[in-house]
Amino acid sequence: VSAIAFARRGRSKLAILAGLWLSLVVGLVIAAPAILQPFMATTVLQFSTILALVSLGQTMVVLGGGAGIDLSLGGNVSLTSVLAMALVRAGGPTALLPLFCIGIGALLGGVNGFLVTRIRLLPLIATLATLFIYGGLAVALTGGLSISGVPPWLTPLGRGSVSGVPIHFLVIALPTFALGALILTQTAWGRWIYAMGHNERSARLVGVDVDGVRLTLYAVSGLLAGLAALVSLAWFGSARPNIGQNLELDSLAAILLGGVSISGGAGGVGGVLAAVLLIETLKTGLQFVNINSIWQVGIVGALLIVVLLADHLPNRRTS
Amino acid sequence: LGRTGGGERITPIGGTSILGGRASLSGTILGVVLIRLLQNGFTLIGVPSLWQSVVTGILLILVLSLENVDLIRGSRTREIAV
Repeated sequence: VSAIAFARRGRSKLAILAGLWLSLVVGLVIAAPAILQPFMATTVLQFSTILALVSLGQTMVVLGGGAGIDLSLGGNVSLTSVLAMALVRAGGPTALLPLFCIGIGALLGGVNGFLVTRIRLLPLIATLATLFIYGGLAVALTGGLSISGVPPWLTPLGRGSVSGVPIHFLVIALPTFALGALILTQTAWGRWIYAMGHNERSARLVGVDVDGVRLTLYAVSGLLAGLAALVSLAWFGSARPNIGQNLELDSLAAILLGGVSISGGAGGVGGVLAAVLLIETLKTGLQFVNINSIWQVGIVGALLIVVLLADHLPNRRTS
Repeated sequence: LGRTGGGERITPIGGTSILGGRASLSGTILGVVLIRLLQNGFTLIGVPSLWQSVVTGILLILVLSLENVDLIRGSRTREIAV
């Protein structure tokens, strides 16, 4: 697929997502006119930040190819928030809580990268194992109980909003995505990621340090999970050992909806952000019209199939 | 999916290759069954239930890493498959 053809596909993907989002909103307003309130938008964005950050990490890892996938993201978010709070409770300076989150998250992601690039475990298996370990440790270390005591100066980050837009969406989600887009499209590092995702052998032959880049990608993915953990701490005021549950699968749904190729090398962050907003609008809307959360999972799955089919059918006809 | 460096042959505990050379859907399903069997065994030998998934994950990495160390040592000269 040439770069131009792919850019065209990216735009049509965005159009599909925008169309789905609009018809979803229209459908919801018809079903429940009371839903048309500004605070609904705030709610959607409030829920979006954590999924957006985790999805960005998932995007990086999947783009890098080599069957890259990070199933441990949910466990990472849970364990990072628990460990960071435990450090603060053990006497660590509270001012360093954000740094603790970022550091621990990156470290846990680095473990994945080590397992994949040095031990040469299949990413699916390595990150599945660390999902068990991280998620399990978060629950086992706390006995399943929340750790309270998030410093009060942090909670405005998680709960405040500026003219209806949650602060963490403004100061964490949007800048991170902008930075991600910048790195992927404007830097040599971004070129390497696409190159090794598209054709790993060629990338190696032209001298890209594929293993080094891939190790970093997993660490970056973990770092973003750490940021998501920080947002959850600021939001809930406590570390919940199950806060990251299902995030790894939701983020996979988001990146596939957003047009990232599961085999790597193709896709961008714009579509991913759009897909995250679509998924969170869907969940919030269904909650509002009182549709059981069990159905929400099924509906997200159906959505995934519809969008992938819409993407796939024209391709089959031309090839 | 299955053509990444070194991860192609996965031999779980019994020494039988369940993936038979490449990653596949059936291999994934077998893996799920294996993990359920493990967790059932943990209950029988008295691993605290809170720690079971941690032990599962560690075991998974240990067993598969050992297999890979073997692989890498056995074919040191082999170029890393891409």
